[in-house]
Amino acid sequence: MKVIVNEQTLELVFEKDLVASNLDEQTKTIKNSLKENTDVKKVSLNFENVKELDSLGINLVIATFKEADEKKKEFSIFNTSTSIKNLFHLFKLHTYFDIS
Amino acid sequence: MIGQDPEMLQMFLEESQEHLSGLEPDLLELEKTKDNPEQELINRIFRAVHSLKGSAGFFGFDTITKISHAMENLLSMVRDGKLKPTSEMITTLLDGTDKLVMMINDVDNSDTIDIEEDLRKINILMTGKPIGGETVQVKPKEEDSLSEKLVKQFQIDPMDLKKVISHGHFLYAVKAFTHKDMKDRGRTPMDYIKNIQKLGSLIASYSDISTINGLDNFNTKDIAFVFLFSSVLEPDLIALGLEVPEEQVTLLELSEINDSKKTEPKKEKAPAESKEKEEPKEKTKEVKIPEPKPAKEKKKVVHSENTTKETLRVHVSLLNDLMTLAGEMVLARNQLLRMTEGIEKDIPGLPAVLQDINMTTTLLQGKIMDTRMQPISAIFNKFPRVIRDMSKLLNKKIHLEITGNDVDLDKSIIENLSDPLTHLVRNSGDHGIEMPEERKKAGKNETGTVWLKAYHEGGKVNIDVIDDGRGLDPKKLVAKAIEKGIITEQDVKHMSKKDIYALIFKPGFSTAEKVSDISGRGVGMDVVRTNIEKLGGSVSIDSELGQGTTINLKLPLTLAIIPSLIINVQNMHFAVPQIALKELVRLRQGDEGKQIEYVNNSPVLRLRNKLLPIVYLEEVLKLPKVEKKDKSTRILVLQQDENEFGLVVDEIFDSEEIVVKSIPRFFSESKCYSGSTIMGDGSVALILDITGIAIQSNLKFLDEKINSGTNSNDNEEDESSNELQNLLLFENAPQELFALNLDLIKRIEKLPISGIDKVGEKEYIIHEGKSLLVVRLEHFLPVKTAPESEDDIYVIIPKLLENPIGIIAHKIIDAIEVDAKIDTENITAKGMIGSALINKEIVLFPDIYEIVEMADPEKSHKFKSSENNKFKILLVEDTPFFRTLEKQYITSAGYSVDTAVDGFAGLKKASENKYDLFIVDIIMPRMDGMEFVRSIKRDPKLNNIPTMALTTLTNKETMEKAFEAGFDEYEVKVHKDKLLRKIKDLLQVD
Repeated sequence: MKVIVNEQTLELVFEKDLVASNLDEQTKTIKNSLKENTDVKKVSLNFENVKELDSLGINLVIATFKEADEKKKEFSIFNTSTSIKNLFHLFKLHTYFDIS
Repeated sequence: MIGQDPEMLQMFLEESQEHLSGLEPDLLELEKTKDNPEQELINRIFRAVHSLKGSAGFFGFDTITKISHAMENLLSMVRDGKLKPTSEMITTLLDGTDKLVMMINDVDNSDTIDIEEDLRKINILMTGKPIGGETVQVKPKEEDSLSEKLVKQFQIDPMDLKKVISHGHFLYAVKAFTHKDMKDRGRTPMDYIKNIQKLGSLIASYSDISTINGLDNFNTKDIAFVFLFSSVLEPDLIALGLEVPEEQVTLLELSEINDSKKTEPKKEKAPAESKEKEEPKEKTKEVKIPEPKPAKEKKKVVHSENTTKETLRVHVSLLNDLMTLAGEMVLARNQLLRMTEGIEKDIPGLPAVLQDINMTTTLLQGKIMDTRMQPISAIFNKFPRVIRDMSKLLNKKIHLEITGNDVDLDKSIIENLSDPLTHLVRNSGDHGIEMPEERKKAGKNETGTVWLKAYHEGGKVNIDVIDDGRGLDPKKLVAKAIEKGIITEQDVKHMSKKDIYALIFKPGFSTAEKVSDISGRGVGMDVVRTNIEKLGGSVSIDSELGQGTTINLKLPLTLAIIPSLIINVQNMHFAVPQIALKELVRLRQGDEGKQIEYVNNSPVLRLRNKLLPIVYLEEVLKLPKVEKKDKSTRILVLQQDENEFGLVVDEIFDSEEIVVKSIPRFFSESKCYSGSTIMGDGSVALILDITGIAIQSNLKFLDEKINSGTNSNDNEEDESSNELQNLLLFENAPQELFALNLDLIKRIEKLPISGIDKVGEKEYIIHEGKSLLVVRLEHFLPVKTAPESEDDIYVIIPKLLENPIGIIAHKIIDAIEVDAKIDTENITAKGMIGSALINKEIVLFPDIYEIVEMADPEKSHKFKSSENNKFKILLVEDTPFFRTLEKQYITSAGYSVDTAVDGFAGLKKASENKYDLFIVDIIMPRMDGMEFVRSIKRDPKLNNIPTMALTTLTNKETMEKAFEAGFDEYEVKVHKDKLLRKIKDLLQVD
């Protein structure tokens, strides 16, 4: 995972699919990034490299949103594929945060 | 609409009937438990109606669909807890069920049935209001509408919902968990959604993310993905298709979804800054989607869940064909056995083969007959509804108890039993059970009970219909029967209580104060009896005024194949149903005279101290006489209900299982035959009807007295007893005859007129060295005065007098043995028993004891007391003279007395009436006193009633035997004072 801190935005770029086999490492990275960048006002997840998402992947996205929300940071997801976007819409996640 | 494929249609009809057959008892059960009903019961009812609706919809039976749909909606509200079941609701649902039954039974015309009233009532009930004639349209409240809840919860366009409804799809709310239902099944959420979209349309959805709080342990949390799904898939398949457990799928009622305003689905951003919107879904008022119920429904409802896989539907016509073939096989087997009789040993291996064929045929026949056997619950199960409806209609409280539901009967008997049994049950509820107030006044429970019992006894199936109601009033029955001309007042004197109760089986008889809609138009009970008898059964009735009534039906197990005994008379074969056969008796040539006696000119067989009436079959059937080679007398002892009689035949062959065929048309009027059969040799034999034979023979123990015309004397006692009496005939004045029973006479003294000494007004003679008071009959009886004469006179000295006297007679005519019928009504006076016509002359019978009392009143004991009239005594005495005399003595003391002519008649009376004492002669026909008292002592209802032997036998041995048999007292005929004293002691009268 790539971590980009740009002014007040923490951008997390997933480089692999969000499936169970990849999640441990990515979870650690997200945790550490949030810990280290407490001043940012926004957290964004970049899905340009994500083609597949399993249930744990969804859990991770939601968990990250909750962490950010807890810390009163704005949260969004972008560069999602059409199918992932549709999935998030079906889960009504778009009512919690921006998905593009 | 599915095409009218006959096979599919038949399956639909059969399934519907199964659903409906379970519906009624379940609804009744729901009514009983309406304050705290079982959820599974409600679900079961709902599923039955729902299945019916669904299937009917497929076939395009609109009316069936409409009413079942309405019932389903109402039941849905009950299931969801929005409505509580009420009696009114159950009645409406039962009425709806009746309509459905009607429509299923005539499905082609089902759309012509009017269901508007049913729909109206259901609609009213759905408002939660009672049915009261209002025409209230049910409108769900806006805030309660399911559609609005769905719109809010799922944020959907109501137009989408409309589309779902209009396409006739099912609408489900489904919850799928991302881990449990997706990941654990190897599917990603995307795969899952793709998959389910093959089965229907995902209308709307959302997820519940409340379980996840942060990045710690997020991977263990499961998210619920909740979605609205429309599909053509039936509820029993949807869970399987969506790969979720049944409890996570809820079928939503489309009828509840109405038009609502189009609302823009709100796009709620979940601002991180606002906690309120953190979990917007949690804040939105969720539709209270009914508690997830298993949407799966059984496609086939069978008798019991446990036997779902063990039963098979078979057409009745197939079973009937199998039965016929089994019958033919039995006949063929019988023929084969008969043809090979005697020669089977000549062919090696043949006996074993014949044995196999015999056994297999018997087993096959038995198994096929078993397929026709149905439990009587097939009829009994409808009666809870009958009683329920009757209770409501009549405002009575009636409880029904059923036992013996699993007793099996042949299908053909069950089919024909339904109507008569329904009539009997309705009668019990309508006429038997009183109104609650009346029952309370009588000290009874306000709720009356009707018992319906089935049990095996004596090789027959017994069905009892018992109620604890008002019972039958014999007086009312008699009055009604006389009014309707069914009997005369004279007939009443000779009718037992059972005879009186049996009057209700006469055509045109109804004692109901009002003829209700339910029963009692006077065309019922006679038809009941006829129908039961047509089935080869019998019906009897017993009752106790104020306590209740019991009706007993006895039915054969099957009509098709019966074991029988083949007999021959006048070279013709007949079959006697073995169930009626008690024993076989053979009298060797020459023995007949010793054992066959004649009572009232009718032959009877003395069989182990009982007298069995016998009939000659050839005479009953009026067969032409054929010379018999074998002079032995063969008698079949047959049982007909509670009675036995002997049937004399020429030869007895073998027992055989015979196939009962219908009686030929030209024999149908004959009472003596119940059917026909084909014998092993191919010949036809008629099957004897035992009841018919008894009727044809004018045997007297039947309920109805058959006036044969041979005996016009209606005096019951005299008909059965022709005991010859030894009488002393004498004259006081010329031409005026008197008689005394020789058993009462100790001695007759002849002496000159000068032998009488007068002391004051009294006259004495010297007898055995002592003075003996003598009396003249004209001093005490309204009879002629004897002329003065110088001839010798006679003094008759009676036995058993504490204070002996002599009766003066001027002429002893004769000692004769005669059957004297004493008339106690026409010529009566104090001091006289009565009179009789002997050799065409009137003979007077003086009452010795009364004359003694009149002659010496100071020395006579007074036994009469007003207290005594509360006691009822049964006097069992075959000799008319003693019966009359003893009855007079006993009634003179104030006791109430019934009489019986022998032990058999005495037992019958004892079972029908309540007595405080039995006084019994020893030597009697049909059943003697010893046998009588033994029977009494064996009966728990009677064994505590004291019994006295009253006999002329004075030997010690007889006395000992009497006490051994069970008598409490032994007295010799007839010492009046001693008799009355002993009665007083036995009754413990103060």
